[in-house]
Amino acid sequence: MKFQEYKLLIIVVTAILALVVASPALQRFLVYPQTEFFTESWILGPEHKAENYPFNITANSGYDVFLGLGNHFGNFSYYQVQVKLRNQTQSGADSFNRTSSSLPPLYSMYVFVADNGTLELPVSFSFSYVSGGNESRVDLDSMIFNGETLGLSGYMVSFDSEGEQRLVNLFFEVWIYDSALGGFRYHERFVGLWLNLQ
Amino acid sequence: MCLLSGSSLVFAQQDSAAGAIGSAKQQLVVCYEAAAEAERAGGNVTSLTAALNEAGVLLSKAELAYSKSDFGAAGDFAVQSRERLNGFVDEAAELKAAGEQMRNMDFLINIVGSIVGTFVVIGAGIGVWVFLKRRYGQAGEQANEIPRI
Repeated sequence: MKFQEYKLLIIVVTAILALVVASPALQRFLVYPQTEFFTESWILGPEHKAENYPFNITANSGYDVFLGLGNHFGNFSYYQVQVKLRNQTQSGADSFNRTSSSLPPLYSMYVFVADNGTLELPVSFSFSYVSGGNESRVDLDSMIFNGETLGLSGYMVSFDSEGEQRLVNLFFEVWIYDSALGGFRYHERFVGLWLNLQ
Repeated sequence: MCLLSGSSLVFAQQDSAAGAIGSAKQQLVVCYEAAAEAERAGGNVTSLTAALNEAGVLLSKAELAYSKSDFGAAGDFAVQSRERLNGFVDEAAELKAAGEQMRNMDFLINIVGSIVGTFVVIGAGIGVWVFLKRRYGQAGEQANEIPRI
């Protein structure tokens, strides 16, 4: 082999080796910066899948779901998850106007999620109410949420317009701690389940 | 008289519980900010996150007890929440310092080491080039000097 034949080999080997050695430094500069900062929230069913969500509810029976939060906010975040319950006529959180529900929270959970981290909270609940079968209105008495009894006096549910279901919406609003504000502000995220009280 | 002293006891308990809850909330914010700083510095905040979440659960219980006018339990839970975060700020500061040290080390190895290594590889390539060029250049000259018979 003459020098002329080695030329290409030397150039290729040197270039490949140089790229391999430079790759740790290059990856710092070539990674596209994160431009979207958000929090995701979800509910999974009892088997940790997006199926078999509870819908038809009987009084005093327990139901399990998982509430998840994913932090893509670019920093360690402090959340307040407000647990709320409403019937079809009461105000809910609004995705279009990006407003929270005006209803008071039944319970507040304070959770912390590291940047790019996720947190799944097991949620178990049951409702205590007396249903007269065909009675159009059900007065809720209380709810057991993760072992805590929450009073629901004043909460009532009526049949829907078709007269088939008595629906309540158990939903979770995500609020985030704002250091500048010195308090929590609504983070425009909520998830919930519609439940039919039988 | 008894009624009055009973109600003043309840008010005292209520005030005490409200104070304990407020204090626990403030402590959570202080610890959250310490954890956020540790994370920004590159520290591993897994243990800090777990401690904060445990304190958060206790705070939730305190608030719920307070809303049910169970001020004794509310105060207890609030105090437990605060106690769960004892030594938290110091731990966060240690993790922050460790994170900063790791980040400096990482910079030294991955950025400085990588750039220096690249120049070394290019230099070695040039060295091999020059060596081979000389060797084959001399071999060529010697081949040219062989007299033809």
